[in-house]
Amino acid sequence: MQHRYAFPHSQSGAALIVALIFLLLMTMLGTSSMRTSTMQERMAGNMRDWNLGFQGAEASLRAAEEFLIDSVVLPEFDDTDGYYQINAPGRPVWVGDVWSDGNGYLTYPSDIDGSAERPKYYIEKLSSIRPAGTNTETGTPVEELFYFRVTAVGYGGALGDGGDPLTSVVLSSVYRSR
Amino acid sequence: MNMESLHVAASTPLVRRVSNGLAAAALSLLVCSPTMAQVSQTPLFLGGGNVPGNLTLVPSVEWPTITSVANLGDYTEDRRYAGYFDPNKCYEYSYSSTESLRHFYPDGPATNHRCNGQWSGNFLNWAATQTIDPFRSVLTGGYRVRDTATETWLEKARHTGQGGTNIYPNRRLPATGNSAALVSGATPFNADWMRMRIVGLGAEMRFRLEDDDINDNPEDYDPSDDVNDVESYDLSIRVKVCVPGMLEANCRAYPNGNYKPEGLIHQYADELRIGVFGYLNDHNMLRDGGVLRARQKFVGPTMIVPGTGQVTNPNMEWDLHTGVFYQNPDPADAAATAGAFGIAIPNSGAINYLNKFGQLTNNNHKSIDPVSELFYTALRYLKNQGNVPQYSAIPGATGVNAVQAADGFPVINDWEDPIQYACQKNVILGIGDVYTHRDKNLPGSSFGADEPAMPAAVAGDTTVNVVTETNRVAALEGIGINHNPFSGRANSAFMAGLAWDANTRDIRPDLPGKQTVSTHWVDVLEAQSLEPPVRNQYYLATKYGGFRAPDDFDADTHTGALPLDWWHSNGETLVSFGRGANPNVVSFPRPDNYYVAGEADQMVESLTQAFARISAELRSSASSVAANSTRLGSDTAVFQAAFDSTNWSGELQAFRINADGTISVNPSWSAAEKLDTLTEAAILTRRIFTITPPVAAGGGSLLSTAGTDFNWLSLAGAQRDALRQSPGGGPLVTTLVGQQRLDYLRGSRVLEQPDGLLRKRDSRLGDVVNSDPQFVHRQDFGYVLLDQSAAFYGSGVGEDYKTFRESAAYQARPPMVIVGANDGMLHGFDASIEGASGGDELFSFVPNAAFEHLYELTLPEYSHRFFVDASPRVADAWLNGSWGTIAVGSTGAGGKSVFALDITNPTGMSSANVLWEFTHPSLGYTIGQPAVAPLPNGEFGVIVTSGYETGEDDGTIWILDPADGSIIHTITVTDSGDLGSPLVVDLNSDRVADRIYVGDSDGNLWRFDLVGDNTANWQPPAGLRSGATPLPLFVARDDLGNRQAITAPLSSAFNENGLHTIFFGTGSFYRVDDNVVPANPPVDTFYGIIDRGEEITGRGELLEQSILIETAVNGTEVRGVTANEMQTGDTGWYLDLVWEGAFGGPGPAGERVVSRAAIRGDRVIFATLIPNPDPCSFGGDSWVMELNTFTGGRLDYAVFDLNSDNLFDEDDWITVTDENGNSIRIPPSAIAPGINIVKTPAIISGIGENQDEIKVMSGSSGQLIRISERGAVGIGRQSWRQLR
Repeated sequence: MQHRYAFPHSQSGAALIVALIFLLLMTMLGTSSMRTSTMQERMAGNMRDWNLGFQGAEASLRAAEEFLIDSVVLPEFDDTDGYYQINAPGRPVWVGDVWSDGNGYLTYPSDIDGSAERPKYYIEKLSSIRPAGTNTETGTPVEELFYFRVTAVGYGGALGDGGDPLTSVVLSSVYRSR
Repeated sequence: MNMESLHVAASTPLVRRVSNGLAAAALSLLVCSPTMAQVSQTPLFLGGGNVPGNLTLVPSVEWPTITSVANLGDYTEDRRYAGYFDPNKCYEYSYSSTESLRHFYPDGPATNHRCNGQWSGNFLNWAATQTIDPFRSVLTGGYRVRDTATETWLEKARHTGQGGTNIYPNRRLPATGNSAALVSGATPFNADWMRMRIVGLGAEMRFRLEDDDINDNPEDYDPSDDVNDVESYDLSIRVKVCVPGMLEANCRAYPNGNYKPEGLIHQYADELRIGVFGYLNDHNMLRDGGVLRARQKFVGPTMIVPGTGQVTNPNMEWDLHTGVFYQNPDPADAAATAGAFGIAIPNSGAINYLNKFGQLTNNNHKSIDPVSELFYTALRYLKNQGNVPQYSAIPGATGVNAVQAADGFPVINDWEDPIQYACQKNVILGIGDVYTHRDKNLPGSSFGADEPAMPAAVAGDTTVNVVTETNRVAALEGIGINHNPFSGRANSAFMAGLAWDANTRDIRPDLPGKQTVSTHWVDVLEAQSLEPPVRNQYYLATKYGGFRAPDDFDADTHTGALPLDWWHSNGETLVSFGRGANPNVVSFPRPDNYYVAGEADQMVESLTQAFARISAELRSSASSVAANSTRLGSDTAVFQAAFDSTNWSGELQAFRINADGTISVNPSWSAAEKLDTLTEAAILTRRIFTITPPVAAGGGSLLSTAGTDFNWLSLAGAQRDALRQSPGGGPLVTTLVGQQRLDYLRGSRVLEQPDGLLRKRDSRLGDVVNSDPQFVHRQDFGYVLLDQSAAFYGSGVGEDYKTFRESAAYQARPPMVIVGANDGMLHGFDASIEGASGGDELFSFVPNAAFEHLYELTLPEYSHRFFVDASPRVADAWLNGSWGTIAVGSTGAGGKSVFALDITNPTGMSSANVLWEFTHPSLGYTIGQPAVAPLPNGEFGVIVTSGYETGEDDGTIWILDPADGSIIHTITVTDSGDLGSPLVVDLNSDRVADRIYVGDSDGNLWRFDLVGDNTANWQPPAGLRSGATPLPLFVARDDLGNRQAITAPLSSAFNENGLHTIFFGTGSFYRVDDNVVPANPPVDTFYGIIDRGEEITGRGELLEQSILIETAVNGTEVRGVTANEMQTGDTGWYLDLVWEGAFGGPGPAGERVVSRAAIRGDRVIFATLIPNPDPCSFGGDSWVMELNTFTGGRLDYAVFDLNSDNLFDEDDWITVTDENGNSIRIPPSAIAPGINIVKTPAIISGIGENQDEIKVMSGSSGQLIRISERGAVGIGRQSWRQLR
């Protein structure tokens, strides 16, 4: 299992990949994640809640990553029900002022002890990354790139006035399955 | 054309010129480049041709095998009896005062084996067939006593009277009582019953009506006289066969227009060399062994000479034109025997011996059959041990008369080595009865009863001990074998020990590899008895001498019963009977190589089976493997194309990949099998298209856009005339013959040999040689991105592409495999793995360029050439305002054209889907694969290079409109060599072509930039042109400065520093002499060239890597490579394909690269090729190399699991001495697949828990193998961040 998560042999290549991806993410995500002032107030409230949310979100990332590498046939990334093309307009928005579950998401399959809600997540398929060593020939079927961005939200235990969880944590990872 | 010479040897006359029409063009080419050899028209890896098998016939013929009745039981009209007569015909008898002129001749068909006033062929077979007759009939077509250009008479074997009526009773029709109906249906006579006699009457049969006294007043039967019941009559059993209009099933047409009966030896004359051993006709029990009657050789009109190829056979045994047998095809052997013994030997040859032994004298047939000693003699021949003088001595110790002993045939004492190739298959096929005699006098035996003193040559033979080996057979079988005697008559079962030894041990330690002998035997069931295994030496010899041992089988240590599937796959169980049923009836599985022939029809069936099994399956594969998925799924499969050069048949099979990464043994489907099961009626509805001949179009091109059906009425006049050509430019054949040829090409087999005059095919699918099968289903070409490109911005084609791929029709279309075949067609087959439709032909297309030579495919004397031999390109494209999928094919070495079909709807193909066929005076052989790509001017283009043997100094790249074939743009490559496949690249990930790279046969690597929508600006960058003249980015030269041909397709990728890099190996393997490695072969190289847009001065600018070692690890050949570091300013890297003497290697071996490299992240994977002209090596061998993409050096982790522990770790590393003399451990960078020549493998990932990969490849030996590989590194989480 170890080799899935480590880069024991080609550090320089991985660094480049990470750099490229960061660049991409910065461009694509823009400034949206900065405008979270109202949320920050709530989040500061309870360190334990934050921890629960973090655990849930991280567990969801792991679950999605396991799914990506274990699936023989991946579902269609058709911009619904948790599977999206990168930056698809209909994807959930879990940061910023206006939250939306978009055209649907995936739910973490078990409860997180103490958490008010099961974590949610969605997977985006990245199709325009070409790391070093990718064929540049065109006019041929695209070589499947196998890069995905997983975005997950986990919740704390405390509920707010409207009955929604008071604390939520959103994590994102970029994952290569093959 | 560049003047610098390439490393090519002089041409040989072996492969004929490509085309007479090309003579001028080829000549100018020769002037420019004096050493350029021509494009070969046969697959180069066949060497001198297929390796023929050696079939040594060992008829152990004692008189019972000749004089016994062949068709047992009472005559009944319900049964069909085998023999020289056609059971379904009626015969007249022609009388003459000269006995030898009397004969039967067919007059018409019988009705349920009954005739009216004539002789029934079925009855005559029952009445007058001896056991040797069907043996002769099935092997040679029968013993011909009259054999002229227009007439053939067969005659039954001579009956000497030996055995009397015990083995050939005087038979009665009906067996008892009266049946006038039976008699009148079988004979011309109206009588209640009749009696027949064969015994002692030579070639005659005697009969008498309604009286048992068969020998009263015998006179010659004359049908013009009345027949009464007070006399008996003699008939000659001699029959005219192959009468035009009344042909028997085994009659074959000859060029003179007449027919001859042929046997299995004729049918297999191309692939088997025949030799015959027999006994001297010496009845003395002290006569040991056998003698060579006809030496191992081809018997047909042509022979394959090692190192030379197919030539006319000086010892052919029949006339090529008429089919008449030559009486003395081996005159030197006949003369030697005649001279040695002072007797006349007018006959020789394998066929003559089989037909005429015992026929040429009045002596009794052989008595006393020492079968183990005869078998031993044949093994001595294959072991190249020399004749045993006592075996062939005349008169020898027994005092035999020379005329009697020789029996009219050569007794060959000067044995040559019959094994010509290390990989030759050697088979002994015998026939005989099990009640053998006095055959114990063999190496290791001390049983002397009824034996002479052991000859010195036998006593001195230490290669085998018959007692030890026969005891081993007894132990494995779990029986006791008595050595003196085995079953009586002082006989032995030593042939079982000999056969076991020859099947399991190397009989020729003096030759490379392992040579074995497989034994087949036909048991004639003497005395109507089948002996059980414990008393049946033929059962034992064929089981232990015929089982198929696995590679690691050790004859010295194996214990326990042989697994059933090693020797029995026919499913038949035999039950002992006759004498063999005493005391117990035993049932046992029939060994695959053991055949029973108690009756004539069983003998025919058994021998036919034996030949079919003996016939080597000479399969070969040259194309690469296609996979339907790059990642393992439930229906992942690979598609392997192959061919059999025996009759140039092809094959395309799908093999499923199992969940553990193994390849299924049995194919999911076979396209050849599917085609071959089509009925003649179904042939008419095959969707085969062609196109009208091209006419002048823009840019000097010749273009056609009018697809038609491939049938006579739709063809253009010129195409019809092409099908009516005669060899050598003779007058056109008739329209009818032209139509028949067309029907044949469509797949009709009605007029195929032997039924007709057109070339025999083993399959309707022709050979697939260099065309790599292409898989097409629903692959995403990524053209959604076009909307973001400058060229297509605002056009909405990207959005349309999404709609196209989402459409129901697109989603429902079946997967397809497209491949070119040398039956003249590009084929499209359904590639479904689930369901029954896999392998169904969806369409085929015959390019107009193929018509010139199509008729040759129908000629029996066809000499191979290529037709549609290049790899097609399958791609999505924007065609006249809508999306579609097209297949662009080319003819390869078979012609000079490129063509396109719209395959958007594979199940509804019609001639309207034929888009165009393009040719141009500057176009050579289109061996490269065309490309299809979106262009910066907002159109799609088909990119085609001018290919090979253009006859011009400049190369050309055409960019054609995929919809109609018209020229969008022409690029001239000034002063180039022959151009290979274009590589079209996209640098900014918008899928639009930015550059075209192409390599040429002079080692130049060219680059053309496609910038903007003005095609006039599509040219090399400023740094790579002088004025308007392109300059090569790089010129591949070896250390000595010799140019290295680039014929392999190019690959490209960005390196770690974002620099665009082009990958390719050098070398060629398509010209006539490319398969010959000279004494000091030049070195070819694999390059990774960084494109900085400026000329590279030479390999001095590149980082050099070297092969450090070649070694074997756990039986796998591997290579280690250096790991030199890239320096700033290096413009790439190279690896010479040689293990240099400086590193302890043998130096250059002619290794080269002719297939495309695969780039997989940090790994570049490619296959090399080392030619070997030995036909046993299927053209040569290959290495599969895996290097670091960015440095060309070794990877720093193991990719091969050499110790098979399913881990890729340091236990798979090898120890090597580096360039500084230090011993280091490194991961290997290459392995040898060991299946001869391979191309770039198909790579399938996602295998098992660790996401490993398999590489599947097809070797020129026809084998399909996989190599387990470590999956790509770098899988896992790439980045992580908290958004909230």
